[in-house]
Amino acid sequence: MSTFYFIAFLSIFFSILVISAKNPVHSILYLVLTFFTFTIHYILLNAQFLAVVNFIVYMGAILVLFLYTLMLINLNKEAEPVKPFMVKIAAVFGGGILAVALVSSLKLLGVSDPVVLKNPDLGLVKNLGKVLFNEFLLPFEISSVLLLSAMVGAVLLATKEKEPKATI
Amino acid sequence: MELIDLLIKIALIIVIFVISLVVAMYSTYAERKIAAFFQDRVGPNRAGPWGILQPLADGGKMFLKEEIIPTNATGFLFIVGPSLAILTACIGSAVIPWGQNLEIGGRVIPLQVTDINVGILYIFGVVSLGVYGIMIGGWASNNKYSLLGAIRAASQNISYEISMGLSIIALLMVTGTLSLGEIAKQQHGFWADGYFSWNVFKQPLGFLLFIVCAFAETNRSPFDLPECETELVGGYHTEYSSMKLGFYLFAEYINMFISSAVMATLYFGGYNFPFMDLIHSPNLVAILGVVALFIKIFMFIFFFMWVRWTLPRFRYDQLMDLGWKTLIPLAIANIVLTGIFMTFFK
Amino acid sequence: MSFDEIKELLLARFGNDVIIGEERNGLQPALLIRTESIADVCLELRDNPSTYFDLLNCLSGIDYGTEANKFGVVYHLTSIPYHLSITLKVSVENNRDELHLPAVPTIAHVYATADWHEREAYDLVGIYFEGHPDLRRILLPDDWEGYPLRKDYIAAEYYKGIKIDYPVESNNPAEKITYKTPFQPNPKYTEALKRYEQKIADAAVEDMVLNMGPQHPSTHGVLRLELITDGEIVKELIPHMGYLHRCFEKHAESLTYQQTIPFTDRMDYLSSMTNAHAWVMGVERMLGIDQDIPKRIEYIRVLVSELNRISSHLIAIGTYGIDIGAFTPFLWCFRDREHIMGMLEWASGSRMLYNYIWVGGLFYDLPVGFEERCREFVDYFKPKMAELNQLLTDNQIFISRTANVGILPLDVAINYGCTGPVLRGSGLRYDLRRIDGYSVYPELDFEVPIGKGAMGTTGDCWDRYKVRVDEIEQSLYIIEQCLDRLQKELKRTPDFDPRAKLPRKLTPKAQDYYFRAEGSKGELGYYFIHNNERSEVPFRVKARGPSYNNLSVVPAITKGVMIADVIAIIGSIDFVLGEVDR
Repeated sequence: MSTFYFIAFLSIFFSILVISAKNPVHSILYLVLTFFTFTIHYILLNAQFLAVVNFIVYMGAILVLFLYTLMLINLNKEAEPVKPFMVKIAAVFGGGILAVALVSSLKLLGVSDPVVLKNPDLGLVKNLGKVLFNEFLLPFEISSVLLLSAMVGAVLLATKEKEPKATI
Repeated sequence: MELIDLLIKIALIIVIFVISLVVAMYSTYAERKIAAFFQDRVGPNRAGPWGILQPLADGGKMFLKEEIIPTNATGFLFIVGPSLAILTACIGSAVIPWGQNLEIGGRVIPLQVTDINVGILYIFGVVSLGVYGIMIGGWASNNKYSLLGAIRAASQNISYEISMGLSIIALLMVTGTLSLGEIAKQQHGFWADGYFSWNVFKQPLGFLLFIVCAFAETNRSPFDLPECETELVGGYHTEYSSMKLGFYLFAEYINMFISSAVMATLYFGGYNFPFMDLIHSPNLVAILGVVALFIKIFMFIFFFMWVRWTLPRFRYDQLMDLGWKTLIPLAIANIVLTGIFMTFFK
Repeated sequence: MSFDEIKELLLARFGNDVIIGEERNGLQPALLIRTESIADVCLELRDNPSTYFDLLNCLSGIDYGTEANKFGVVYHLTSIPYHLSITLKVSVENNRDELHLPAVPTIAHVYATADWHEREAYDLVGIYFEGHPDLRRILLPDDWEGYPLRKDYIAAEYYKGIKIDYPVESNNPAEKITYKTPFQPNPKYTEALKRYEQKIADAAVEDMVLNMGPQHPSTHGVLRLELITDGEIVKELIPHMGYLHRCFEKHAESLTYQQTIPFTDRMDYLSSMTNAHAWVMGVERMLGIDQDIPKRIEYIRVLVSELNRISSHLIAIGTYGIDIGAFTPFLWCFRDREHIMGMLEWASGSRMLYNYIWVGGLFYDLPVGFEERCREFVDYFKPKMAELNQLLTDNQIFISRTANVGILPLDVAINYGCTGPVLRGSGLRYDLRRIDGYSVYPELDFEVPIGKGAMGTTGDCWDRYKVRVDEIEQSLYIIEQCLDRLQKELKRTPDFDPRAKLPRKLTPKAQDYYFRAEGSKGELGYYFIHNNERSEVPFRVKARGPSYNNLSVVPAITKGVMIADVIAIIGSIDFVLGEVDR
């Protein structure tokens, strides 16, 4: 249990650093660390497959892409745009809604069992696969179609019209 | 866990760590000698007989060189970069089965640090983490060449991870397990049930895809774009000097060693060798198995070097085209073919 | 079409006052053109179907001396289709006030070659070209004061506050006493520099300005390329050179013809023999002794020049391999080049800068046994080339990196004054060894390889590379023929003295003469002006380095390519910075 609390503390600590870091590249790196603590959480839950997938997909691919984009943009302090007043209003509004949602969900909070799984083998690949491909086959396939359409959309957005070739 | 087991594990870890470092060290020597052989030269021959102390001399030089951290570099991350690179390179060896279990005095000693049931995915995670060392180092250097190198490394690694993963999925369909220890065990001997037992004979296309991706993931020629000297001076390690540079170079050789070990384990039977059933002493089989594995690893390392000193380098867009337009469709086709084959001929 | 017909043509087209004089006394007749109409005359000569002077060989800015107060520009034009050459001259009066430079209209819009040549003339002689698109200094630093090739130039004592330590105390008293004070130049002359600085500043906001060189592994020396890139795509490439500038032309006009030969070696230091050969032939023709040179000497000259051409091409091929990422061919090439270096060292005593070919003869006869060793080398080398082709030329990755990359169309190549393998790679069978037929080349049998677009489009990097590979083969063939002659009818005799025809005094008649020869990189030209019959020192020498002109085409063919392609393109041009900067 103490491991869990330590890791949970680290998760929260790094996630605060993510939003408070001045340099966007630093905040991405903190995000990487945050995800790493999530991976440890999964391992603590004996969900090895989810842990490794979280590790590969989130830490190894998605955040690398984030970092990649930020490096290309090369934001620095001077280039940071001044936020207009409307954006601030919108941020306050959004934050307020989030607070309401949090309070209402906390009101419904009940005491659950301690973090002990009833079936410790639930996170193993074999069981996960059986559950996914029997009970949840339709949602699984639908989500894959969703990903495919997102991919096609991204390709369409990224494809520019061919510029005329530079002539000598 | 008993104390003695713990001690054995720690000893095993240290031995594997030292072996990785020594192999990486002598890979640099081998690379020079092999390059010299290809290029009609002598190669290093001053330090010790036939120059075999050359790696030590290189190491000494690396440690004694001046440490330079550029003024405008991000100091902390500049040091984190190479540390991450060498860290991720070293932790990959934890799940590789180096041999069969040894039995000494009634105690079974496994020659594998840990046999987690998602071993292949673990290797994958470590590989995908490896790019952080390059990206952070390249970005923290605050140099345009380093940044270009880092960006190339990132896009190259992500692109080739996909086809690597897809090529492995076909293998997993054959083996039915994610555990490396289990996969090695399945390829027992050389011939079983009227067919070769090694996976390379069951997944030839998958192996081909995997080795191409391994070249790209270790940034070895012809995929050494992130550090290609003639375009980007030194790529991501342009600004590095002293042992921080050494770490980057060293990480490359350790990566090469680990990926050779992974390839040998996944496709070439790991510690298995032909006619191993004829030997009745299990300990002798285990030791010979370790030797066999290392022979396979060295063959792969030689192959890495052979390619490097023979082929020119791809261009960035050609590399991407190869990854996305050739390897990924081939890998998917391989999965489909494997599925069809397993359904109809099982 | 003869000289007179060209003159008639111009008179008919532009009226009687366009030609203000002519010079017929020298070996090459020249037309003196009215300064204002030089651009029109050049355009007419280039586009007229009966002349087609499409290649500007050389453009030389000349200071005619402190008494004359006259500056001139000399244009050497060649018509490739008609095998014609002509010299045009313009001159302007000027009182040497640095605030008012002599001004000549630019011809950069007619011949792209003129762009860099005019910048060089502006840089070294201080001639302002009206209407030039980018008239900045090219070989000297932007803040240099004065124009070194002017006859009244005094070497500065300080550069940026640092005292210049001249190794030898000058014996010219004028050089000791003068202190140059900084002066405010005419804003007209710094306009291009300001424009360029503004461009870089603007580009740094939107795009990335990547500085490649002068310490970059694949700029082949101290060339600096400023790339304006959008990610990996190059938008514009701006070359900066001059890091290796020694002012060869200043050397040449301070030393005698014979003393300058070692300096020609240092121009294209990879092919010193061809440089010296061209220089020596030019001087011999001015002296009128070129027909008296014994055949054996000429054959030895051709033999060593071709050996040197092979070694130069070997470096071009090997370093090109490295540029593309193949390391092994590089060392193979150096291994084979080592044999050539050894042989030339045996003959001349020096490995790279030979000083072997002298005016009227040779430094020394070939050592005994040279011919046999050379033949052994040829037999050894032929299979090695086949091996190299297997490893590099036909490699699929190499082809995909070089084919259809950096395509240089023939018209662009000619307009930029590209010569040698670069021009031949674009598909034109143009080799001065055949066109001019100098030395004993007419007696020798060899092919002129050209690019055929075998792997992609004609004029791509692979074609330029392949032309060099084929030329090595042809050079080997020439060497074999030379060896045949040298071992049979021109055999070494005990009384043969390679220095027998050396003139006592190298004093040509007053004349100006442009001599060109096929160096390893292309047309190597020397423009001599000799005005004092009793002096052994030329009045002015202009060297036309092929690398300089070949390099000038790079900005034109690197628009919109990737960074890796820039490396492939500049590698395929094969320039030597010693010759670019001179």
